[in-house]
Amino acid sequence: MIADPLIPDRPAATAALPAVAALGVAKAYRRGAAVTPVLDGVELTIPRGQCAFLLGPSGSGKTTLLSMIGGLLKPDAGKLSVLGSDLTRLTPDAAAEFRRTRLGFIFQRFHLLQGLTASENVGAPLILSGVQPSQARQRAEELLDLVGLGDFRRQIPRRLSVGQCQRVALARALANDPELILADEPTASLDAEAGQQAMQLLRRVTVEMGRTAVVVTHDARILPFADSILAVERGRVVAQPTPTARPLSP
Amino acid sequence: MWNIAVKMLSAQRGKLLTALVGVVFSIVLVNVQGGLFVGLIRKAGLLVNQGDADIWVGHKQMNNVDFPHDIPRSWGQRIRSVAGVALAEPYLVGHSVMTLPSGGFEQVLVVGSDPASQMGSAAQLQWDPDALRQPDAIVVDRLDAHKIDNPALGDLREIGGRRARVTGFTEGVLGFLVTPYVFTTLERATEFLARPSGQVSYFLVKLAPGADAAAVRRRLQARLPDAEVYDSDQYAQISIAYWLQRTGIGISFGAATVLGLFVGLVIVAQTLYASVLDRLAEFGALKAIGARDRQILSLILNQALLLAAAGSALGLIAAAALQQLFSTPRAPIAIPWQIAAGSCVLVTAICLAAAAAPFLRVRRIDPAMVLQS
Ligand SMILES: Nc1ncnc2c1ncn2[C@@H]1O[C@H](COP(=O)(O)OP(=O)(O)OP(=O)(O)O)[C@@H](O)[C@H]1O
Ligand SMILES: [Mg+2]
Repeated sequence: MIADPLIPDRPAATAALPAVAALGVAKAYRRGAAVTPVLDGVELTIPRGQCAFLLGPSGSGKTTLLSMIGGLLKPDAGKLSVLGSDLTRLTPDAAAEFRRTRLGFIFQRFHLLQGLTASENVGAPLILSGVQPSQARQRAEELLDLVGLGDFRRQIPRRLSVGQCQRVALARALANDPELILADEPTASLDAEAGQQAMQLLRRVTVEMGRTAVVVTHDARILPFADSILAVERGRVVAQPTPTARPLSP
Repeated sequence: MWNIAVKMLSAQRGKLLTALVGVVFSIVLVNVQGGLFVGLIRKAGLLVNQGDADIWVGHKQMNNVDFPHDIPRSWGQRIRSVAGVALAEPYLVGHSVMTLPSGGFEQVLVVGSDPASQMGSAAQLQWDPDALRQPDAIVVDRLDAHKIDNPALGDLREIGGRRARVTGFTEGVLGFLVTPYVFTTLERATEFLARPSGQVSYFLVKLAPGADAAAVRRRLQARLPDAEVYDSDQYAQISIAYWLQRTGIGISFGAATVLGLFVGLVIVAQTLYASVLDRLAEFGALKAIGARDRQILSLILNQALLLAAAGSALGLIAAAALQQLFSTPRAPIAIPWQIAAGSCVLVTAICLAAAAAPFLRVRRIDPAMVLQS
């Protein structure tokens, strides 16, 4: 059974814990003898129900950090707890299960499946979870309505604009009703106005529905949408002041 | 899952089409080549297949219906006395030479049987049985007519120094040998072949209703220890095996087919393999959103199965169409179900293997790559 996206239904036990907590997390890429240290001694806490931004210069390790939070990479050292799970201990299969059931991803290039319609793309994570196709379709259509793409269900990604693909990716990230949404440069390929709209929508379907969001960005124009801002600098994470004026959701 | 598999495949129409063409080509090749081969080799058992007998009785170690040895005609009495035998009729087959009006000669295979018989060629070849009642009458095949100077009805020829008159034609009764068949009565065949009158080549046996063929065969064998007793099907197979083993025709046909098949299957395998590698990013994305390796494997295998099934169906339809169009008595295309089924199984196996092979690559995809692109 998939819960209604509008009424998040969470076990109370872990609700008190922060969504993400990192202690002394380190990560280096190794290729043969070459070692590229990226992160070292990362400390951060992201409370539940917030939208946290990860900022930093190119190559500073934002994507690396997001990948670790998303269970796609393992830290070399330190403690990393996401939604109450210790990610340093998960086997690859358990990590896949964790991603499938508790996280939603929005990739920079969206990575929609090209042959599938918008509705089928959104339903794909449900099919992977063993949901009946008819139920998956119904849920996908609800989500497309939610992101304002109700009229584009039958379109394949190639027929959609970049902004529309982005919204399909957002709807797909919500399909399994995740507690935590991870987005890498979600507005990088959008113009200023579309970027603003995308962030309004992202906030509306995440934090305003009790979910947590972590957004990697370069885009200074969307900083007002952040509840907290974390900068990745020289391998560490430093909290930044948050702009006070936030544009109101429509 | 199935739906996702289909849709993902349809996104690569060009590749899909190439692979499909490869599958169809492979299926058509195997079925048409195999069908031609079976059609050709089945001619070696033509007389048996058209004889409509249940059992053939002949000389010890008989191994080819077209090359018999004499047996005494007097066996007929003994055969008829065996329980379960309804009919036993003599049948004479032998080689002779026909003298042509142009002064040339043609080797012929003379087949003699009782024109009134329910068995043997006379009854089965569907010519006018009265044709053979005329003096010196013979019946030849229309498609072989050019070999014997295109006789018209009533024209005379000479076989083994005896007069023969063409009184009828069969249509498309062509043997495995290039030698034309000449159908006539038992008595006339004995003369054309200059045989002693007490000798025939076979007895064709029809079982009594409800008789057990195996039991009758055993009783016949016991009654005639010097004879060979076979079911019709058995004897047709033995005649076919004779040519297969002595000419190696199966090997040459088979080698050509295997070579063509190899090309077709390499196309299929290569296309499928490449199509999986092309989609590593998509599989990586699926893994990132939590697909298990097993689910991705099943996705890939479903796609291969779908391709194999669609290609096999189209290929079989195409092969059947070619058979309709191009099968002639001279080069018959006979596609037994074993070849049809075998080709589908083979192609399916290759598709599954070709799709599963790059799965090792898919397994090694690091889902983190999706974020790092
Ligand atoms: N798979 C990898 N193997 C080796 N080095 C890598 C790998 N992925 C990233 N790096 C390196 O690690 C560092 C951090 O990369 P990362 O992608 O996390 O940075 P980023 O902050 O997301 O940059 P950008 O803003 O350009 O996306 C870079 O120097 C990069 O070259
Ligand atoms: Mg990055």
